[in-house]
Amino acid sequence: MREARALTRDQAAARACVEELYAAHHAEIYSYLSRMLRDDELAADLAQETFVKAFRAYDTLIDQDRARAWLYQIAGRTALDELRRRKIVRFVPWTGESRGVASSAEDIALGGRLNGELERALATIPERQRMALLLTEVNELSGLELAEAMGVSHVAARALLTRARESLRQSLAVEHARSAVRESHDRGVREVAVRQDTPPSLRRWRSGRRRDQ
Amino acid sequence: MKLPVDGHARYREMISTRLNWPLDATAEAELERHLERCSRCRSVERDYRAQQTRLAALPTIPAPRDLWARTSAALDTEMARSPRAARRADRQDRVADRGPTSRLLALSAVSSLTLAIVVIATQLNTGVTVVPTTGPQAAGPTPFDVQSEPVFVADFSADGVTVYQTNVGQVCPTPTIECSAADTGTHPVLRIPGSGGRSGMAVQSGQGRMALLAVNDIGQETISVVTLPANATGSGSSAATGSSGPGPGTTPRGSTPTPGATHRPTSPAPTEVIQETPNHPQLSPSSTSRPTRAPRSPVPTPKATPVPSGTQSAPPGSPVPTGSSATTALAILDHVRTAGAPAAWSPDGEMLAFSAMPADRSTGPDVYVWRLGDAKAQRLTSDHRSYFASWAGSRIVISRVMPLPKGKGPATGTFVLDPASGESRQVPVNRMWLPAVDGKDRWAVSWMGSLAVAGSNVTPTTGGLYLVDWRLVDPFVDHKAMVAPTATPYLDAEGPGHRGITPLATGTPRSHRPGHVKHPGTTPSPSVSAPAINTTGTPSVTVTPQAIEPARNETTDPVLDWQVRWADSGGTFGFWIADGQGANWGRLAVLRLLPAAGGIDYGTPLLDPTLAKRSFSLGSDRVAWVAASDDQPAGELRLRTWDVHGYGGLRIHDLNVDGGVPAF
Repeated sequence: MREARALTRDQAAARACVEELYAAHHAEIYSYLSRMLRDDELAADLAQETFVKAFRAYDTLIDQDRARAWLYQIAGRTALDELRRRKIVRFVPWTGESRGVASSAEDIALGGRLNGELERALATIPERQRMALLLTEVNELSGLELAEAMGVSHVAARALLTRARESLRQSLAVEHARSAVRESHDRGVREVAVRQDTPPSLRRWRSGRRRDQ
Repeated sequence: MKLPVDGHARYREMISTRLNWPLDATAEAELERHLERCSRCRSVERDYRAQQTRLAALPTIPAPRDLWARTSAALDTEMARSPRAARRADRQDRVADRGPTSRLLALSAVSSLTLAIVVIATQLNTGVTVVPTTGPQAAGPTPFDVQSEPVFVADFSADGVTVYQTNVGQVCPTPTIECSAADTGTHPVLRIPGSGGRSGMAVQSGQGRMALLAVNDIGQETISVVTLPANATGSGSSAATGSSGPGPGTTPRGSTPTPGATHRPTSPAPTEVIQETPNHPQLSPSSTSRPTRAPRSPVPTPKATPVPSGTQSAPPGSPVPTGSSATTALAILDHVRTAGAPAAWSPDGEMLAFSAMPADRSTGPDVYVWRLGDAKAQRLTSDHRSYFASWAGSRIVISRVMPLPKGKGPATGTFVLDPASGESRQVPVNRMWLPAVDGKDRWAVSWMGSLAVAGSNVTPTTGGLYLVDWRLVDPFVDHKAMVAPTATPYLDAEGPGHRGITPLATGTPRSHRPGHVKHPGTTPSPSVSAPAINTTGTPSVTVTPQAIEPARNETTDPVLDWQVRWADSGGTFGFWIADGQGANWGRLAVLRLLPAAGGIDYGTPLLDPTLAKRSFSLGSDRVAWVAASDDQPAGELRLRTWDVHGYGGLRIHDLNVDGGVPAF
């Protein structure tokens, strides 16, 4: 009985701590998972799972100062497991908006266009590289935190980050080229539409030539 | 030099690393030399930098609003997986560890920062003026003036407590709170070094005084009393109202405050903030912009008194006003753990009452009172089984665990204690626990239900909150002189599902076992039943408490963790019910009573149930709480007001309520 009491007292403490962790970090963890998985609903599920796992594994958190990296580590593993399990690779256009965001149409159009390319490029690079980049540049983890969250040495984390940057650089170039092609294609389609819809006289006028002159 | 296959790979790694961490001097020099002659690597560096900028600019994707509810439920399930015995032990431990109220004051084990919010009901008798707004904000909600009152936030950190003041004189029409004030002139008014704890706890105010409850690493609490600076509540608040006109004070939702306009103290910033701005001007470094913004206030209100120089407009670096940092807290009791309802000031603001037990829990809790002028709190009870519930006028309401003769088990009872005479009388009702009596001694909101009693520890098992006619149960009221109630509201309704109150003297109510009684969680029927007769033959007090949440099934969804607070003026109460036992988040609602009949006015709730942190602060015309928000995920301070002009709301953005459990 005494053992059980000790256990549950720990449990209550763990719960309180996990709630504090939730309050402090759920937004960034959710955002991170959302970008890792490119699926808002799944990200919410995994964010929830992250905190439940944190509660279960609370004993493994020895140093409170490292709680954030620890949490990211759990979230990252959860995300990787899920990605591997479901083999989710969705290259759907995804602008980053999610449920609950009341962005204006203008915001979506602007931000979506600008970020779309980047988000798509991010989605094409290997998962662990994406993790390293997101953690460092978006979620602003320190070098030590990054190594801890990735479960590798500091040196390995730096190497991973470099590879990620190079992958993203190449992927961005590809995405940029695709956008350019798409845009020119769109322009082509528009041009065809104009030609078909415009009366012959106006078409000539548009082209700058006037046959009757 | 032998190079790998791609000779530039290591330079790329250096370029990449340098973006986040400094290279050592040798590597730095080598990289610079290489970059000078390698255009390809220069281009790589350019690309990496651009990439970094673009990544950093990616917005945070807001979490769904129900994420906490889902996570909390999942955690509950996870906890429930443990063996039954462990759960029971856990419950007892919770009581033993923290006591019923410490649940009200959930400890922050991780965060070093806890906040407490207090609305000071004042003082200013100015009327409410509607200020029509034109200009850029015309499309958004139009802010209107309400009586200016400060909201105080106590920020506990390891090296001290800082009390911040934020002033609210304008709100936006609700139903939904659309206004966010990025600049309410929040400023620290009090700094008490050395009195902090790892986490902070309850703060209360009364007549310019505040009770602070600091908890150290091992859960020991110290209760202190401080006097707020005289200028904190008076001119300061009205001054801030004037300066925070409709333009700067309130901005429509969606107009994100620019980083420069919002200076939030972040953990453990309170100290830093004080160092940066050692006097008590507002935290928002917008004093320079105020004059330009002030003309946007279309109608200067009578309250718009000029900002006294030296408070609002003093530049950072001005000398510390006396009293701002020199104040020390008077520790009235230390090495204890509080229990029962949170500490509360008497209606006249001269006495503070609370219950506490020794930090080592060697005995159960006793009730303490601190009187103005005393050095220490005095213990009023010595049975070690007394839990402070609330003030009833100048008397103190106490809930107690009472040992009954062997075989009958313990029971609980509620008493009213006169601190002046020491006389204590029992409320002729059992199953009430920690009733919160209003300031007029007219009504009480009490938890009622089944309690599991173990020693001096009490744990709610099933039950809910009820409105009780306090006059009918107040033992200091001569009930014989009162007209026997004949109408339905005050009938005793015995039987399954009824929350009839039975005089304690009669012992166990039918089918109920003291100390642990199961009830079906149905709504008490307003119909029926003859007045109960107790065993001594005298008519008992017959009351039918009114369920505050009639729809709640108290068996499957009992209220186990709650807070109730009355507005000083009576007639209005707020109640908060935790999402899960011990959870920091829960639902807050504010209701008022129908003036004549005394029933609850559900038709016009002052605040519909809303997600809120544990603590809230209720004034006669406003409530302040910490709510979840997309911008400040740990919670932002929110305000709801009500008056003749309707509801008003405000999201206060220049106050960081990050990372802590606010307590009142």
